[in-house]
This record gives sequence, C-alpha cells and structure tokens, in this order.
Amino acid sequence: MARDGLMFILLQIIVVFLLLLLIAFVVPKLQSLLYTSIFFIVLFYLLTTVIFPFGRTFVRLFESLPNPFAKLLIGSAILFLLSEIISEHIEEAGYRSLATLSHFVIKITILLLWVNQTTNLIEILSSLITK
Amino acid sequence: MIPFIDVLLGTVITSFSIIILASFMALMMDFLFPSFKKWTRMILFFIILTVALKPAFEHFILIRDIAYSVSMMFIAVYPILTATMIAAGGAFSLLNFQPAMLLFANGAVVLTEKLLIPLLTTALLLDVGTRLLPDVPFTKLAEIIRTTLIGLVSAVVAAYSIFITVGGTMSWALSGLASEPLKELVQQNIPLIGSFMTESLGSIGRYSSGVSVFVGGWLISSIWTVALVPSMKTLLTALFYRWTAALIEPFADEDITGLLDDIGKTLFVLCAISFLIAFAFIYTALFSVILIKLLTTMK
Repeated sequence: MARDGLMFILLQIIVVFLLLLLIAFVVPKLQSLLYTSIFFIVLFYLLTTVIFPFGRTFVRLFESLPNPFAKLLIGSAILFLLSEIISEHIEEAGYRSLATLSHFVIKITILLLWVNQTTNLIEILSSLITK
Repeated sequence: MIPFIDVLLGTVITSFSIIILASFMALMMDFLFPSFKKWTRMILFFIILTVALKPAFEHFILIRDIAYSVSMMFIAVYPILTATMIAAGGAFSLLNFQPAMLLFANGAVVLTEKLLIPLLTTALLLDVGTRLLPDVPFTKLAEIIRTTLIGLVSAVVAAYSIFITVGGTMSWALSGLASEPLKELVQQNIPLIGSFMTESLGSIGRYSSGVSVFVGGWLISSIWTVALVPSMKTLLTALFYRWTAALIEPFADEDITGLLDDIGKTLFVLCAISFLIAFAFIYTALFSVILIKLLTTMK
C-alpha cells in the first residue's frame, strides 16, 4: 500500500518534470515564474503526503527517549532541509544574498527551538560551579 | 534484594538505554539528512551530555555530601571521644588506639571534600571539552589529574593501614588462602582501581575483624554496608558507562564512546575516593561503638 503510494508520487514528479519541460518550450519568458509556483505546489504536496507522516512515524518510533529530543531533532532537520531547498531555489533565480539571509534566519529559528534544552544543560554544569 | 538493586540502578540503566536509542536515532538521521550530519552529531552529543552526565554528577554530589556529613561527624565526635578516652583511662590500652589516627581520618575527609572532588570534576569537564572541541585537547591534563588523585588516595590508605596494623591487636581473620583467588579476580577485572580496592578492603577487614570481639558481627556488617553502599553504587555506575561505550562502539561516533569511557574512568577514581571516606567512616563508627561499650561495661 505504502509502496504503491510512493510509486504514484514518483510518477507525479515525472509528470511535473515533463510539464516543466513543456513550459520551457512553450512560454520561455514565464518559465522561472511558473517553475517557482509549480515547485512550491509540489513541495507542499510532498510535505503533507510524505515528509510529515514520516516525521510522525519517527517521533513515535523514538517515543521512549526523553520527550522533546526526538521531536526536536527530526523537526530541526526537516526545517534545515526545507530552508536549504528554498534558499537553493532562490539562489538559482539569481538572488544569492536573499538565499543566504533566509537560510540564516531559519538557522536562528532552529537554535531557538533548542534553547530550553541548552538551559537545562547549562544549569547542570553551573550547579557544580556555584557551591 | 532485587528491588533494592533496582532502585539503586534503575535510573542509571534508563539513561544508558537512552544513550543507545539516541545513537540509533542519529544513525537514521545521518542516512536521511546527510547535509545535517555535523549537527546531528552535535545534538547526539548534547543528548548524551544531558543524559549521561546526570548520573555522574549525581554521584559527585552524593560523595561530596557524604564527605561533608562525615567531616561534620568527626568535628562533633572528636572532642567527646578524646575527653571520654582520658576519663576511661586504662581501658584503651586494650585497643592500642592512637588519637592521631582520628585526626588523620578527619584530615582525609576534609581533603576529599575540598580538593579531590573538585579536581575530579575538573578532569571530567576537561574530557568533555576535549570531545566537544577536538582542536583544543586536554586529554593529557585530565589523565595526569586522575593518576595523581589515585596516587594520593592510595598513599592515604596505605598510611591508614600502617597506623592500624602497628597497634598489633588486629589480625586478618579470613584465611588468606581462601580469599587470594577472589582478590586476583577483582584485580584483573576492575580497571584502574581493582588492586587498590582489594587492598583497602583487606585493611578495613583486618581492622574490623580485630574489633569484632568487642562489637559483635552484626553491627560490624551493618556498618560495612552503610559505609560501602555509595562506593559500590559508584563502581557499578562506572562499569555501566564502560559497558555502554562497548555496546554502541560499532555504530556510534568515536567521540561519543570515548566520552563515555572517560566518564567511566573518572567515576572509577571517584569510587576510590569514596573508599577513603568509607574507611574513615568505618573507623570512627567502630571506635565510637567500642567506646560506648567500654564505658557502659566498665562500671
């Protein structure tokens, strides 16, 4: 069942690819605009059908770990990957500095997710210093 | 006995299974997000630090608290002991008691509290720092601190046993022939402090077997248990660190197994230090008990 779904998704991606080739041939002036919109539609589609369900499975798999860790790890990794993809996309369009900026901001967001855990660790360590 | 051990080691086992699970998780993440690899390693390190340092630090704090309360006990008991000793007069020639010994034990505990445990914590933090930033290694320094501490502690224990055996009233009751292979086994299997352990246990045993005439076996064994439970717990935790390191070695980073190994080593040294405290505690407790017995039966 799941394998069939994945094959179907692969087929959809190939269809999208063919569509993009067709756009490049028919309306070369609108190519980047259409590419971007189709890219984001595909991205969100894949997010809802594949990536988020996988994330949930992953979290359930490592449920027994102390609570936030598995969630945080998979969440921050997916965020990092998405940000990388999007900033790459922006870079391909030629706006390199904007790409760097968006990636940087997402990195800060990921770090902020970890603030609580870092505070815990620092508290453990500083309990040794203050006597 | 089993629930007792479970209470003692339950949290420790939990944290080690967390470490093993976390390294599995990191393995999966590395496969899925190779560009995130460096950070997966950092986060794994982070999880292990929060989870694995907790039992280690708990032991540090436990031993520090015990050292503190034992030194308080010395300070409270010492004047009474010396005063009653003078009052009791000749009764103490039975035991060949040296008052200097009590001061000596007190000194050892203060040394532990003020110097040994902070130094050991420093060694542990140096190890963690080395693993976090491999470019700035402190491995040699941490190793020197640990070996110095081991040397110091074994010197103090050797001095103790000299003090005790000089008296001449104590004799080693257990037959040497029976305990020798057991000693050998312990020395071979517990790294770093195995021989130290057997030696110090031997000298404690030598002392208490001489004293058991006055005190009675059950009291001695209960004092032994009270004094040695923290040491045994520390020892088992240290062994758990090493076992976990050995278990996750095939699929985890070199860094993480190395860190666990280092924490284990540091805890072995802590265990040696706690033996020192146990030694002082046994000595004082037995001595107070003898004193009370003598004072109540002399009349």
